[in-house]
Amino acid sequence: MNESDDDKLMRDHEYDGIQEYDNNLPRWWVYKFLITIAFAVVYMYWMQFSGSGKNIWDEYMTDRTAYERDEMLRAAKNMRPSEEEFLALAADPLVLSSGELVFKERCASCHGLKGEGIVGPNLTDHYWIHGGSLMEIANVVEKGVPEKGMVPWKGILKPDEIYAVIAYVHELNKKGEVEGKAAEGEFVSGGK
Amino acid sequence: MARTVDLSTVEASGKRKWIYPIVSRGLWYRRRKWAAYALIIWLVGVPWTQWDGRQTLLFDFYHRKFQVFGWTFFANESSVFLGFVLFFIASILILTALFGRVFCGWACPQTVFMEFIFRPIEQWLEGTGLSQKRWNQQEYSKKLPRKLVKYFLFFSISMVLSNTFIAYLFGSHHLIKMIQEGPLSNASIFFGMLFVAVLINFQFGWFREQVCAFVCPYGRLQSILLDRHSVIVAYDAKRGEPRGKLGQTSGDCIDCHKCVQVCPTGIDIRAGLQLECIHCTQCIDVCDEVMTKIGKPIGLIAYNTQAAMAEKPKVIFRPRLLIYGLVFLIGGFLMGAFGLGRKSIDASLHREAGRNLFEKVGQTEFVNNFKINIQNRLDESQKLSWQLIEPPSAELILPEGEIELKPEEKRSIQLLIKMKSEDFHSEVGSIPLKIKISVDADNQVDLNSKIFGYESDD
Repeated sequence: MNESDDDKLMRDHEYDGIQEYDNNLPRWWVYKFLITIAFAVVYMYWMQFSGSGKNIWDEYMTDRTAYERDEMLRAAKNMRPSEEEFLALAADPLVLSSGELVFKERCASCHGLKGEGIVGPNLTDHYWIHGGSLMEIANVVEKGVPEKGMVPWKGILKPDEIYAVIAYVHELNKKGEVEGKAAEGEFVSGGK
Repeated sequence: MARTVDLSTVEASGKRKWIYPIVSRGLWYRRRKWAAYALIIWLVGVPWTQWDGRQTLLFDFYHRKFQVFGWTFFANESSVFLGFVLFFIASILILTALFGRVFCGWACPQTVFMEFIFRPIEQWLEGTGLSQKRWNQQEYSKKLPRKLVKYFLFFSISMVLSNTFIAYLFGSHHLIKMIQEGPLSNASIFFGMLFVAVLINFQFGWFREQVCAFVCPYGRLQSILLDRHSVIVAYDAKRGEPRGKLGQTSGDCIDCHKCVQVCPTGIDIRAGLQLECIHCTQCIDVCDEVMTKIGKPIGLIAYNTQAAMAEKPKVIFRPRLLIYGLVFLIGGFLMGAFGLGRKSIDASLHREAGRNLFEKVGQTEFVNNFKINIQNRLDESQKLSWQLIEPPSAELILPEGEIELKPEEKRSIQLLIKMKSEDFHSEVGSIPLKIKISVDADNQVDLNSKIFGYESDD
């Protein structure tokens, strides 16, 4: 600013030698405010009174319902075999030998080569932490127990590998108890 | 009492004062023109180039992935970004302290596109200066064809720019794919692109210099970024004043108002350094032309410093430059250290919430359970090898066996540390754990934690 500008200033206050003009806002700025106000009115009506605006909870529930439906469809698509089908698999020596391979490669590091339990629980006794039925075992193998170190194998192993290893574990348990890790969990009769 | 005053582009009432600048094609204009063309080619062209088989620059916010000259950064690498931001901001501060607003005049997209793409089109159709004003005052029947052509061209260019942004944000290959699929298959991106194109058109067709004067924070910060030793576009009042008709005054300024007529922000540079001035050098060009014509030396308006005009000694190293320089070095160092030190994998080790610190296994052993969050930062598969460094007597168990990460895969891995209690000696109940995950000799990550356990009684 050169000297001549000083005298045509401005407002009757001054801070640290800084003064200001008393101009109006540029028009576009004013229009922007007006548009904002108009938008607020329309938006508030749409959100609060018209019934067509969705709040955050509604949006969440819509998304969640859609997600759950997709999940169900997906689950239905790669549904695991039923209990009877598993028993049929467990009777097939070919399936059992491939299950044994998977078991020794993946499971034995925690459950022991004979299923006697090392870090993971003993699989040969009559005690089960997460249920001893075939379907419950299948559930644990597929979804894992991450908080205890059991890996969710679904997605890492192929489906037929998983089914084979479930069948193998079932047979292993039927063969009878092996000396190993102390029993944990609930007693389940029938030896499954 | 309150006073009002007209600003260069806005009247005191708030009404817009439309600027019809004349273009002066002097030396600086020609230089800026080449710089501008180079920058435009760079901006529009870069997304179509590849570096190491990947897009040279890609800012994929949707996948939180940023490709910069063959490097891929992910959203969690904020330390590199912090270094870059410090480095970048300090560079701008230094540049401004030394050379004033050269960025505004030479490299700002607003100036580059306004002065070298949009304004030339406007001038081709409507002429310069007052000729534009006359066209605007014409009957609609007469001016409509020209206006339609102008806005058709403006909007086409805006669309090119808007699509260029998509190429930066989503990738140029993805852009081509989306164009082939048609607008409605990617409706939200398509309408987003249209909206941005409308904004660009609005910006260059109407809003123009208002951005520099009222919106741009960089412009507003000038008063604290500049000092008397910064190079600015300045009128030498000592030489020019008193201004007046040629031959009737001792000053060199003949008050021809050409410098005002060429100014794209409508100011009078002779009033000194002003917020609105984007240092575009148009007034230098036109004044030099006038000075040459009347047989006086050029440079009445020139790149100069306030100190030099007051015949004060030149000071290059000012305190602010040393401070900015320090920030610059710190930022550069952080960026370099984090950037060069980064590995091809990113890994962190956690304990699962709600778990026991350790589990007994049989009578003599115990195990600690960990989860490792790991990310492959490369575009190729990587095999991991694991090594337990501390404590050597323990055993590392990976239930999943050997692990190979897919390109850019992010996952978590279970890991168990098994140990004999007779090997565990600690007064505080824990001993250090150190695991090394390596891909090759250059890419190794050390993870540190603690193992909890118990000492056997015997």
